[in-house]
Amino acid sequence: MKNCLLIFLILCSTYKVSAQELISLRGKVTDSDENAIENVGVFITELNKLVETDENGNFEIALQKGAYTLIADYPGYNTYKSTIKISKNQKITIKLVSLGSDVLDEIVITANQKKLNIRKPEMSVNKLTAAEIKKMPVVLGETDVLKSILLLPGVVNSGEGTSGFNVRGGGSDQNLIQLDDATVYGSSHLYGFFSIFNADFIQDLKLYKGGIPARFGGRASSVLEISQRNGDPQKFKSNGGIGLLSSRLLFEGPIVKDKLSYIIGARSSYAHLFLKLTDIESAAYFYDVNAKINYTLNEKNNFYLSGYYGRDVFKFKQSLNNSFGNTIVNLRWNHIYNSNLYSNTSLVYSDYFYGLTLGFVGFTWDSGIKNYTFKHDFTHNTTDKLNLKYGFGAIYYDFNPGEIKPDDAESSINDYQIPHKFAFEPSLYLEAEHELSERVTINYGLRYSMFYRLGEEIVNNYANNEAVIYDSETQTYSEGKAISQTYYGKNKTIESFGNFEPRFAVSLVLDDDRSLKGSYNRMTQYVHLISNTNAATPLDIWAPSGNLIKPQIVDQGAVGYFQNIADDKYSVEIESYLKIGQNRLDYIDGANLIGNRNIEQVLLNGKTRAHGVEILFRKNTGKFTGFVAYTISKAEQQTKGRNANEVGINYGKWYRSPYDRTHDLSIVGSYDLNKKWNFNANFTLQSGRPVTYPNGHYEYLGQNVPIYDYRNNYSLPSFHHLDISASYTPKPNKIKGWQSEWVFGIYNVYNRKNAASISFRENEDFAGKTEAAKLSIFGIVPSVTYNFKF
Amino acid sequence: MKKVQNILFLLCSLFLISCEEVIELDLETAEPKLVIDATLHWEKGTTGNQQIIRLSESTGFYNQEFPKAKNAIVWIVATTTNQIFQFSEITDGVYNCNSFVPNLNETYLLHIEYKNEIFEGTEKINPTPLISDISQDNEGGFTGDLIEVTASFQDNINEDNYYLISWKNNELKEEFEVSNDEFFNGNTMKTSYTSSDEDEELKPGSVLNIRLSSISKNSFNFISKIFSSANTGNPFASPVGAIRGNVKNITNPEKYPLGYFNILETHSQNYIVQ
Repeated sequence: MKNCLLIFLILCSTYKVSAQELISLRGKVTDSDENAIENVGVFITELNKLVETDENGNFEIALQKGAYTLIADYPGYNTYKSTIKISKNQKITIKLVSLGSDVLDEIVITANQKKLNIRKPEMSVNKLTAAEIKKMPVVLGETDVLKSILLLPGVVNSGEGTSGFNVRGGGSDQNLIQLDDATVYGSSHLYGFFSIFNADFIQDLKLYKGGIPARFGGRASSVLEISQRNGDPQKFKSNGGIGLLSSRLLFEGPIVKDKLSYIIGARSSYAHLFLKLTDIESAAYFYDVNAKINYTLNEKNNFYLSGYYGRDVFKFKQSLNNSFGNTIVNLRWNHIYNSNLYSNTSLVYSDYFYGLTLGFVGFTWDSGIKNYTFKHDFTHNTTDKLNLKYGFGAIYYDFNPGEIKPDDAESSINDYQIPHKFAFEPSLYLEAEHELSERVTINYGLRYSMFYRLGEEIVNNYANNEAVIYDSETQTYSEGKAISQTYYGKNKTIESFGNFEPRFAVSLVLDDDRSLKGSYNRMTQYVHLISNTNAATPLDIWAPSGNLIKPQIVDQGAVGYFQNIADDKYSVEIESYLKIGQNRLDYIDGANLIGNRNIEQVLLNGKTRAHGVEILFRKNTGKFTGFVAYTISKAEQQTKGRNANEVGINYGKWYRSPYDRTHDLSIVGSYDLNKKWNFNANFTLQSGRPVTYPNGHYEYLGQNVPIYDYRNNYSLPSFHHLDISASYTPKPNKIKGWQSEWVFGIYNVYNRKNAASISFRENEDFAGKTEAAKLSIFGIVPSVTYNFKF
Repeated sequence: MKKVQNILFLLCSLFLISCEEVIELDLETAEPKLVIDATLHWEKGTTGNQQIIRLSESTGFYNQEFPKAKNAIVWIVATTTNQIFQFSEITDGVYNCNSFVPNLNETYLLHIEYKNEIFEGTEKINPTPLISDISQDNEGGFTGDLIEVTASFQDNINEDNYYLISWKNNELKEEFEVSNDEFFNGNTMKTSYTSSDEDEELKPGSVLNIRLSSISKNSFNFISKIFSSANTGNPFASPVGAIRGNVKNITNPEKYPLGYFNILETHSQNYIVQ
């Protein structure tokens, strides 16, 4: 027994001795503008050990006194290598210098993502940097953040020229799009042809398709995190570009060197986009402005103030005036308590506005959504095996479902404001990343979200709480009639919800190159996009959950296999997912959604389900890089009758969602010929969008009426196009003064006439003759863009 | 408000290098259904004795001929007076009655026997307001330079009203429009016509016939769906399913008929374009 005690004491003391000798090296990796870089591998040569930075660019390692050679390597940047002597606990900053320059990368990024991080329990996440996005050939050379993610596995949209995107069978309203910390509602210009994000202003983007950590919530399907750049704290810089559709200009620099810096970027299309220049009464254009101020109070406190303002304007003489866009203001405070604990506090104001004046109908229509968000998040590295993230936040919503006003005295329209709706959404979460053993790391978390629908509002009450009535004889649904109304005063709770959202992810390392990962997440979404069309449109209206509209709940499980091949030259990711959703809104046939005062009278509750397999194969290094992404999937929805007597929508049967694509293949390649020339190509091939074709027609009121039966029973012809681009840098070695670059592109090289839609109509010249007409949007579109910086 | 969707789509196509072409597309054909085109008009100030009902069958989408529904038994009964009006087939699929008696607010039941199946449906005659004024300007259409004719009528503030308006330019095909008073309750409602087709543009001397009828909410919903189903191809269109009218197949409810039984008081006016 004595011996045992002795051994125990020896063990303790040994432990103590070695612990004393270990010191901590903490570091942060940033780019030259002090933007933190995530997932950078920092290699300590002497220890043969690799550590990775977290999303704030921080890393930490325990080591003994001595001299160490640190190598930090990240695609698109020069490799950092330095030997430092460490004798006490120390904090260092590693600044990576971008290859070439940060805007005109003469050398293309050698990998879309560094080799796979097979250890981290993070899956179903894709990351793209601004430099990568800028290399991709696009319509009219207009770099587009949102279109670039459509190349990733598991992501589709409703077709060319439609806004929004669909992730793993989710609706376009189920994506949380965060610009820094601000939630973005309308994400496109020109009714969906281009996204509102100015690529010059963007650092990178990260798309969470599954395994969504507990810190995110509020949307049911995915999270798209877009980080904006910080201004250069050292010297003034400028860059810009001239394209066929728009021009852009960006300035950045210090106000007080290393203390206070700014960045401001603006983009505008030409005022008479596609319209005759002589027609001065009409206009069609869009513009957006991004600005950010970064203030470093001291080592421990950083403040950021950023803003976005964008508008689309369409005017057609007196007949039509349409304007819409976002206003976002975001104040963020980054505080470091100590090297293990830091916090991020944000205040966000976001306003989406949609206005339409139709002169020939005689009305003006305004709608929108305003948000006030507060967030307080902590990152806490308790030990090197357990990292915590926790925080809380709240959003206050002010929905304007629409106001109708007569546009002049002659109009016979009554002035009518559909009452505003108000809601409050607080939430809190705890998330832990826990290294259980050498081989197993888990990330688990729990989010609790609440939603309060608040007054002031007059709420309709319906018999049996059913706002939609069913006629069993004609088997049709129609609007119910309220039997009474209840008045709720200002800030009185009309209805409240609370939901636990568990999140879990695990990685199991098989060997140095291979791992298996699994994840599960539950997401709750309290706001609903009221849209009865297949594609998202800027006039879509958002509605909060309440006494008759229940929150959407989506459960997703995914498993995957990850491998780096041939010294990380290649990597492969294979994932399979299953996603089940409840309370997805569906609409009764013929529902009128715009200007509808009692939207609950046309809504029915449905379910969704989606499953699929995604394969992503990348070549990460060398002159030729790129990836092949293939997805096979199915996305369906179902709206059953509320009881056995009702048929539901589509006879209560499952039907394919508009964004169901059985096959989806993308091939993206980039080749560096030399320092001057770089070539890129994208090829996309996917199954056509599900559509409903008629199975006959008849004559009624002298009209030719097609007969439709089951929804989405056919698919449009398969969709494919090949796009290429080449960028030419005349003087690649010039790093001072005026530097320039030309980007030449061809979208849809072989002029494929992809069907955007097929309509069924009567021939214009021969009454009675029916025909199917295919509309295709983009044929072959060449483009040239000139970029510059000084 | 449905117009908004179409405008949106129009805008998109306007700004783009889009192109449209007619394609060959194989379509399945469902079993034919009985189509009831029974819209009885009772013009203000007339007896409304003479009425016609057309019966046909649905057919494959590319077929140009609609098969006539021959040898059907057709009658209408006024539900309060039990007075029966027989319709007899005058040509293939066209059924005529010379002794019909319309009464305001009376509910009528349509009865059809066809191929050993019985079809029935009811509808009421709603009072229709008078067209109070017709005016003309030359700033119509999307481009603001076409002749536009506007008809006005007074909406009843005490009820929800639904209207069917038809325009007939010379002897061309009738064009229909439905509207309701959701945003106009109690106001003088206006409805305008311009021809979007170059060949059918309104010219001085053109004769335009305007016909206004009050319709039921049910009928409004039905006709709105019919119009939007003619418009389904574009990605901004709402999905449509089967559109059922107010006539049921009593014998075999699964084999529901198409079309609608409407019985309308109408007010018509002719207008000569200046």
